[in-house]
Amino acid sequence: MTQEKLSKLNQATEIIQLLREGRNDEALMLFEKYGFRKEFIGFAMKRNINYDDASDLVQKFTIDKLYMKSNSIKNIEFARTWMYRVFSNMVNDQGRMLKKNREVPLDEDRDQSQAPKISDEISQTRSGCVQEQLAKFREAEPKRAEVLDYILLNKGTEEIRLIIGRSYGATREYMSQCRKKFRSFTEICNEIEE
Amino acid sequence: MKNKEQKILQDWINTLQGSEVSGIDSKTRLEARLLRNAWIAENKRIENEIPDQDDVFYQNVREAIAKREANKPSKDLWTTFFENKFKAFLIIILGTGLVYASKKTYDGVVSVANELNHIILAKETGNETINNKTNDKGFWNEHFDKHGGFTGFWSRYTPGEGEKILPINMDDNLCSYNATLSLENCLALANQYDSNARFNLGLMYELGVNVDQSYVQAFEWYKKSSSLGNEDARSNMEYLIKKGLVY
Repeated sequence: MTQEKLSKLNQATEIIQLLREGRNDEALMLFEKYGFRKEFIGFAMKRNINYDDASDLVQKFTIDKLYMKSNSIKNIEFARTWMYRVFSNMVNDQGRMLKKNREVPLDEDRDQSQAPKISDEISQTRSGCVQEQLAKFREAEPKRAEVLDYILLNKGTEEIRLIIGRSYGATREYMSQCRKKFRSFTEICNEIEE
Repeated sequence: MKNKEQKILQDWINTLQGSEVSGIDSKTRLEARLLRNAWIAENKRIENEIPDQDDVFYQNVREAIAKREANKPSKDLWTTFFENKFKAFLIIILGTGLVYASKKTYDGVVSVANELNHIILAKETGNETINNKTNDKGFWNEHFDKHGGFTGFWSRYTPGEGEKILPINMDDNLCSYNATLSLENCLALANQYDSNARFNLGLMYELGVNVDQSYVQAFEWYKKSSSLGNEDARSNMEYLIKKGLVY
């Protein structure tokens, strides 16, 4: 395990430990210092949740889960994994709620994607095209995109397995599927020359 | 084949995570690098939307936590007690054992006192059937068999041969324990709410003196006598129950 990974795991454990001891202010200071607020807000925003909603969601997570449930975490050394698993569920719930509440689009809006638009200039390049396809992939395959995020956040298979609640073999298989699925999205970018 | 796929997957993952991987095919490398670059660009775009400092965020969190703490019920005795299940279990077991042992000690003392009372009274009347053995076998004898096996707290004592105790009443009237003791005399007095006569009727039925022995009848007469405040009758009632002669 790299030093960076280890320190991230320890940081989450440290926060939970402080909360358990009732040192809430210190825990919140570390939450900010270690960049968890930005990390989780960013995580939610990648799922097409706007900043205000994402911020509210992280607040809710900090109060209802982190503060209220800090004593019920069984393996404190897996605090970071626990945080991701819980927050990911909250984001999924929020996503489902937004989808449910979303009004039926008018005919002219029906084909419009919810994914953020990449400027035309960038999308002319191959990397720009991949960016655009990543946004589309997130919208079409939110669960697979989530696993891609975990990989890109330097999480190992074991940690991802704990977050998504699958066996080791199933997680590897799922990761492989994510790769193949994403490749199918980026096939159109292969025609663009860099 | 499977190993090759796993290697490609691992190479792809390592490249995504920014490691330099040798021996990876160029297509997979390019794929992974493009995805990584797109993800980094996406991160940058999102990071620009998130303010570096958000005092309102922490103010809200602090307020909510303070509110929760104010509303949090203080831990009562039971919550504290049951927080550690093992400790609670141990305390309950030890507590139950202690209560049970105290009860057994108390029962033993009371039963010995009753036995003595019965023996003294019986001796005064010259009754030969007295047996001064106590029926209280004690905690270990009652709950463990002769081999030391645990027989359980639920085992109930049943009197053995020759362990019958004969409590005698000393009233010197028509319904006294002597030659004149008869069912009719006792019934006549008992119907006039004489607690001693009722007690003696109980006694007659318990011992089978001039009547057919019946513990149920004996118990009924003791109960009636006890309802008039006769303490001996109450203790004999308990005696019959404890011996398992009535249910």
